[in-house]
Amino acid sequence: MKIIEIHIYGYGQLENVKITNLGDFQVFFGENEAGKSTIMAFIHGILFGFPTKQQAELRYEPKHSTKYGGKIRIYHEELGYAIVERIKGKAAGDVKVFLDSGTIGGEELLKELTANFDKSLFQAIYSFNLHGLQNIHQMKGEEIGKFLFSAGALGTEQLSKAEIFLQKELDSRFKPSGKKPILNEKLQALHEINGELKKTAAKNKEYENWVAKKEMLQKEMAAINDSLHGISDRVEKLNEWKRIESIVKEEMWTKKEINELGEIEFPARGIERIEKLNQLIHPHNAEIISIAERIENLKKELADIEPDLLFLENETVILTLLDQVPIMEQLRLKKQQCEAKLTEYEDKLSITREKLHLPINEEEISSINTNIFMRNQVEIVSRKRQKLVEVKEELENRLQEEKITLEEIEKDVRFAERQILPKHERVLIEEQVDGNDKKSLEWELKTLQDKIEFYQQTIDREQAVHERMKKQKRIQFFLFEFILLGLTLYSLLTKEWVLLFLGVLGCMAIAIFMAKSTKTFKEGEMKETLNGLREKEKQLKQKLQSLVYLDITKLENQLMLDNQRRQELQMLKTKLKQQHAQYEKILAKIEDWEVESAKNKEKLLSISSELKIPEYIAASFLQEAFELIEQYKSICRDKSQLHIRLEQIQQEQAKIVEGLKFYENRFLQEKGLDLHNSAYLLRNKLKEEHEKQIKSQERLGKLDDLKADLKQKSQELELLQAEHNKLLQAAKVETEQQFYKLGEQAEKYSKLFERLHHLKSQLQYSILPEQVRESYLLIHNSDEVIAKCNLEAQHLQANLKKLQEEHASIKYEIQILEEGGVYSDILHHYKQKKFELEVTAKEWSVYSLAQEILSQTIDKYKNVHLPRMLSKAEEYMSFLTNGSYQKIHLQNTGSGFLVEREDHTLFEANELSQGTMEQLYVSIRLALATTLYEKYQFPIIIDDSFVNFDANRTHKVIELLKTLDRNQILFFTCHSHLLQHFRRENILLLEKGAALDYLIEK
Amino acid sequence: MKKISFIHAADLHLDSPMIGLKHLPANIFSRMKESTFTSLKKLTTAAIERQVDFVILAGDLFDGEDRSLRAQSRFRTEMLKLEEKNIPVYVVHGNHDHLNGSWVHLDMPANVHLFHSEVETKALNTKSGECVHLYGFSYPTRHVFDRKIDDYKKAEGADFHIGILHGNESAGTEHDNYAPFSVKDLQEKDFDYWALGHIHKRAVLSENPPIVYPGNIQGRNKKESGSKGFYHVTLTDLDVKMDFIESSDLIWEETVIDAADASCFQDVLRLCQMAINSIRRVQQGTLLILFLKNIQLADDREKRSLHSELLELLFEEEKDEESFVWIVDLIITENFHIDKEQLKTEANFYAELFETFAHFENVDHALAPLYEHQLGRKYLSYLSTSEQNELLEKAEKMLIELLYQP
Repeated sequence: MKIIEIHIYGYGQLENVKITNLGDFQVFFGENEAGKSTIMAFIHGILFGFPTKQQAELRYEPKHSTKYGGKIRIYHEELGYAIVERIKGKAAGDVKVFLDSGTIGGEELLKELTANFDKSLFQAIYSFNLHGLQNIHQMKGEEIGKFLFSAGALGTEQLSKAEIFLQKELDSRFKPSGKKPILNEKLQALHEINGELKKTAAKNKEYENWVAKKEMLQKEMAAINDSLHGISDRVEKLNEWKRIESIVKEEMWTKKEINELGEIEFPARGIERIEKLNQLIHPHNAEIISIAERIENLKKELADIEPDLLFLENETVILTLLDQVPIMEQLRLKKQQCEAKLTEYEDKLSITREKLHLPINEEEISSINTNIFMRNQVEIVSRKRQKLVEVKEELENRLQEEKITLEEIEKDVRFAERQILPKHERVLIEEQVDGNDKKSLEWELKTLQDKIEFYQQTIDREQAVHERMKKQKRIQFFLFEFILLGLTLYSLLTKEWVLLFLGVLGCMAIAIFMAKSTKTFKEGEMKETLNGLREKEKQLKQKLQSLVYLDITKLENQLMLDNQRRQELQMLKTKLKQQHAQYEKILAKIEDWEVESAKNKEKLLSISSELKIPEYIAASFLQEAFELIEQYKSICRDKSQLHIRLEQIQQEQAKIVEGLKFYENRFLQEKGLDLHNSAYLLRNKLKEEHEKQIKSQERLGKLDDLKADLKQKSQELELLQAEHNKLLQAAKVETEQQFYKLGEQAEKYSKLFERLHHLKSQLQYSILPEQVRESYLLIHNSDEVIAKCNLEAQHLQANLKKLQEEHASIKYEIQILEEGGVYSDILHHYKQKKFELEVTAKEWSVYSLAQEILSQTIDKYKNVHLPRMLSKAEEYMSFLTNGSYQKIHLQNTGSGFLVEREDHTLFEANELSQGTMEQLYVSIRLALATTLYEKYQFPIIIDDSFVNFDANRTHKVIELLKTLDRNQILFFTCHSHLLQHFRRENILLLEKGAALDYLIEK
Repeated sequence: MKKISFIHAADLHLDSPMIGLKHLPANIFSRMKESTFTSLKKLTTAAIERQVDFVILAGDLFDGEDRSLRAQSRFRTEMLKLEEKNIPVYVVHGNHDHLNGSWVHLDMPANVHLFHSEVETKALNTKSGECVHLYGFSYPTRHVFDRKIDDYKKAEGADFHIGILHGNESAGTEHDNYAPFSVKDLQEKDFDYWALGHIHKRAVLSENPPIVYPGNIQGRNKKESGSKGFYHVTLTDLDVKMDFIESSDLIWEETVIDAADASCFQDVLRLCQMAINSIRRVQQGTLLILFLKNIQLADDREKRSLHSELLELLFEEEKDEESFVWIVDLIITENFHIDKEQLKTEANFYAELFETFAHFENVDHALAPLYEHQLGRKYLSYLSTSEQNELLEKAEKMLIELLYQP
């Protein structure tokens, strides 16, 4: 990169300064304050940003101008020409870059141009000033190292620290033959786990062996179990034999006994049974004998008592007869009463007969009809008759009364007729009274006049109102008329025919209505009435004038009295008329009565003839007669009944006496006793016979009982005897003696049998079957045999236990292999550990790689770049010092340099003279720029750095600089003596206030 | 209507150890050990509860050299449960549990029907009277690269035809190409269902007929993340119903937390806890790989405690949790940009350093002391290129951190 033009708008004291055509080796010469430092600061500022307020550097803000910044034109090797403009703005100023190719950009593009260098790095490499050179020896070793590192060298502590750190990390993780580091541990652990895994895997292989072995063991165990079972079975049997041995032997003995005894036929419990039978037979015999004796006795007794059976047969008849004896007395009494009543009835009859005094006898009377109808007829007729008599009497009384009243009324009428005025007189008075009513006429007149006046007023008022109305109406009508007329005209013009028609119609209607309303109706009527009234008034007035004044009051009284009288007369006359009618009515009623009376009489006669009563009695006492007849008839009936009853009583009496007599004769020894005595005797006899009868019956019952007893007992005895015989037969013996003997034998047999049965039952459930038992009979000492067996069993048991244990352990092994999963546990564990190992290994790898790369880089640096730079620096140093110092070495610590003089003496930097050290500094700096940073072609800016150099070395430095053709060199100086070293065209003269001149002449 | 229902699972890898776990608390470790068995139990329980007609296990029941007796014993126990309910099980063996292994064999109950090394057909009459033909074979050796699919021949006379195949769909190149086949091959066989195994990631290759990789039943490393399980399939004349049932007891998950807003350690902890709680699944354990990104903590002490204490704090809460979320790896990246260009200009050494990194090739040599160590060689697996690059990156970062002092 080259700077070709500088244009300062305002920077420090410089304002609007323009410097063009800067050369590859440009010298800026100026006095103090000519602006050299300002221009340098400007170039830095434009390229890397103005110093911010926070930075210690000067900002060069113009004191008298508002403009700050400017632009430079540069040439870039790759991007070509460009203008960089930076003006006041944000902290570092606003920058714009214009490439000639047309691209415009900001900071980014600028960064590209400046290859990302920042100001400090740029200054460290490309910018020299006196200050830097002078202070170099004051820096401490560390600072120099840092500086050199930052300037691109190496061998610093940073690197060695990094190297040490990495090595430590690596060592802490892994050492190829170590044990402690984590990776070694992990590897070892994994190796061990793997070993275990293999072991368990091998175990898995054994699995099948285990299974086979397990099966074998199972078979063995089964065999042992079988034999154990056999032994225990045998022991059990032996034990059983021990238990049943004695029983078996007894059983055998019993069987032998039974066989000897043989079979015996004997009824079951025979002896017991026969004894029982004997016990029953003896009492039976005794009983039978005693019963037979008692029967004999009873028979004798019965012969003694014998009742009179014939008498007893008639008992009922006799008893009734005896009961009737007391009735005889009653019958007698009744007879007497009947006779008394009979005479009483005779008396009554004669009395009745006398009362009636009829010529007819009893039979006739009895034949008279006295039924209910007749009785009713009689009642009706007699009642009617009675009524007729009463009616007649009443009618006669009333006739008399009516007659008297009639006469009185007639008398009154006559008197009233005399009192009334004669006719002509009355007419006269009436005339006088009529028409002379002056007062009324006057009053009438007055009312008429009032009426007339009222009408007159009304007419006047109406007329006034009418006038007013008429006026108003007319105006209204005219208004309507006009409107309608207008409407009509309008419609005519617009040819609205309907409207026109309506308009015309309206006009006409209003016109007619107007004409009509003007006429008056009421007025005419009123006038007529008024005229009529006025005429009437006139007449009344004439009448009034013609009236004669008379004493009317008296006449009026006369007339009134007369009127009253006349009215009274009239009333009387009517009364009279009524009375006549009443009288006539009663007369008619009397006639009716006579007819009815005749009818009654006729009926009466017919009834009396039927009742065979004489007429005279019938006329007045029909009813009584009828009742008497009836009475008579009933008494006759009672009487005949009494006769019959008497006869009955007599018959009964006779019957009782006869009966009694008959039985007396038949059964009693004493004859001819009176009735009561014989009755008593009969009764006694009856009692006696009854007693006898009861006794004999009792005896007979007893006899029957005894006979039945006897029969039963003898039957029982027979049965018992048969049983007894049967038993003997069953035992097949003749005598009871033999029977008993046989019984004893049978008992013995059954006892033995029972014993045998008992033994058998004991043996029945034994595990030793009958057939086997015999073989055991040969064993003499079963205990010994049992002991032997037990020993064997124990032995086997122990064996089995061993096998079982073995089996269990194998089973356990198998189970562990199958379920316990030791193998898979280890496997999981192994995989996990392996992963952990791998992760740790990777961590290690990172460190290892870092170390490797770092050392490679360092090696490269040490072996390639550093020697190149150092050789260049040596070259420059040798050149500058005329070969006095030829070699530069790196200090072993990596923090500084050693310089070798011609005589091979080594110096540390701070041991050199000021000038030499500055030359070393310059050599290294330039070597850096031309070797390590040879890729970047930035201008080298030198600010009067060589003041400590002697003339010779100054010349050399400038010569050296001139050889650096890859970089533009901007050389700022205030020393005019230096100018001789440069070509004139390369020198730019700076005056105060930035006046510029290229031609400076010596 | 004809109808069958069955369970299709594969790649049980019973008792196979999980990869990528460091030290765990005892309870979680035992959960981890039991996880494959727990999943198997869920499978058999589902089979019994849903009263399926049969169960298909499409290979890799056990895990090769690591096949443990326990695995077989537990498997037998579960099969006995199914036998009790009269549920037959159709098993093929895959590359991991091929027939030629030297491992001990346990006898299986009668309801377990094993396919032999050549493709064969097994007929089954279900309880409800459907006739099913099942086709399959077991791996005779570890490697079977033949096109076994050509040996599958449809045998007429059944209501349903189900192919069981443990192998690799040809298109997938990331797996060993065992018993290769293409979807088209399978479709051409005109079966009703293809029960595949071998690929641990669940995949339905075709809907009609269903060609299904159910995936493994329990994730075993961080690559096998998310829920794992098996299919409960119901086939009818007309349609297919496939019900995925999750079986995994432990689940591998990965999550990234952007901690740019966290200004102190507590914030980071809270963020982690929130993330953990959002991931937590009821009744299941989660194994979580947690990326903490953009950490920028001003305080150096806090920064250090991120590396030392954070995990312990998080572990503390999960130790006794049944539905734990256990962080198996915590990867912290700081918001620390290193501008390489900047560094290069700051000191030329860096430029040289980066240059060395860029052209560094001999990683193996650098790692030889450990990886070529007598034991290291035995127990450390070979690092892949990507792993090497990852390590290099880490090394570079570490160096810069060591050297750079602003």
